[in-house]
Amino acid sequence: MLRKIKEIYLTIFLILLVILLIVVSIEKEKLPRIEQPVGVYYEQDVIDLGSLTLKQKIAQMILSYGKEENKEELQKLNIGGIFLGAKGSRSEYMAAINDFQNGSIIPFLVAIDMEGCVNPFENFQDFPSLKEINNKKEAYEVGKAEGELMKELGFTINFAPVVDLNDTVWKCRSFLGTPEEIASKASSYIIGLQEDGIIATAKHYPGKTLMRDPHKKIVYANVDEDDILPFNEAIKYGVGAIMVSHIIVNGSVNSENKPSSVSEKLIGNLRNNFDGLIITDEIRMNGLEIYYKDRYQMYIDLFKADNDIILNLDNNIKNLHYVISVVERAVNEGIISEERIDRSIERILKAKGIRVVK
Amino acid sequence: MRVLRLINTILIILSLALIINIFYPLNAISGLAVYRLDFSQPKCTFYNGEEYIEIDDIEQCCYDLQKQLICEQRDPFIECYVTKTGTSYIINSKTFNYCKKEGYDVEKN
Repeated sequence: MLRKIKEIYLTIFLILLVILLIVVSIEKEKLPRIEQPVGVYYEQDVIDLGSLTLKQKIAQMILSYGKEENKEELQKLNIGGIFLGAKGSRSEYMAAINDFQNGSIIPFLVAIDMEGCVNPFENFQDFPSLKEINNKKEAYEVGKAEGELMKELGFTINFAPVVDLNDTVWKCRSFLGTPEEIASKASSYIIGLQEDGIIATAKHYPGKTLMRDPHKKIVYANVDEDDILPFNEAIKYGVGAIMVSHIIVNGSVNSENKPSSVSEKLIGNLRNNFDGLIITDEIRMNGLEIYYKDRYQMYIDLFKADNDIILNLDNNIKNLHYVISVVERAVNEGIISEERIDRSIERILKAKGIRVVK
Repeated sequence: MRVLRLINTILIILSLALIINIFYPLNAISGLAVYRLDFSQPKCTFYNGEEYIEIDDIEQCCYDLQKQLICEQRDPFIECYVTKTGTSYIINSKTFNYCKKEGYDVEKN
């Protein structure tokens, strides 16, 4: 009898425990509540920087994947930009971009990747790969044509041109020629692209990113003046953005034995010559996550290194929340200064055609 | 009595599963199980219009797959492309499952 009573008590206890664990599991799955941004003063292309919260400012520094299901969350978070892959038609692109922009307080940067092998517009417009471009006149014409299409569809930034001197991986993403010829073609492409207001992105600084030992996850390279030449020419001709890779470099540019994208020295030196947007390569590429045992420190170092935009195409919204909360904590603890965040925000908003008042 | 013991055993198993789920989501475990139970090597081949090139960096492959328009089953592989006549990525299920598990936006049509 006593045993039966004990079993009954155990059953009741286990039922209550299961109920409690179900409630905890459900709560854990819920995304953090995000309020619709309020109090943001943004009118007639002027924004009061002080009206943005720290979280909103950090979110502006992230460019994420534009998955339709995540649209509302990305809008509420105030994420700075979205990246879109291939679609079947012009109208699909325009509908998707309008949809994202219509619900956002601050317009998204809308990014595409015409890096020269895969043409996301191939279903309705052909473009040559970079290796097929023979001279600077052609490069200008291709850049101009791509810029016109992107503007029509609603894009604002193109993660192109690749100015690495050699592509031994895909064998079609680089211009062909001597470093001077590549620099000339790239600059002409940039001039053509940017004539319609599309931001060009010279990548992947400081070069040698497309020459990889396939057996090594973390990439090391020695870069020389030839590798840097196309970037310097691109800066001279007004390129709007430079994408920094995660390779570890020495030689003409030194990343302090760290991935370039987290090297304050490397990015600081780049910053001395260039006041446009500095964007990281996608943060899961080139072994960046393998270099770091701990994503927490990786996110802090990415933001601390004076990058303006962190390219994080993770579709998991929880991970975006995590990044923002890690960086917010780092700012509140004094590890990253809010002034440093504000400098990037001003560059980002300027790139969006928004004037900042403080 | 036997019935009670059976019910309690089921409740204990359920509790353990829920506790594990709190620390390591079961849907991630099942995704991981599908990935780990496939003992083949992840494969990713890029066709650039002229030649087929092995892409050994699977993260890079996943990133590129996300930019494609369609992924179609072409047994025993999966082919992902923007148009049928352009460049394409040819992958195996191991790669596809890895990319999905890691949160990349890849779907089979």
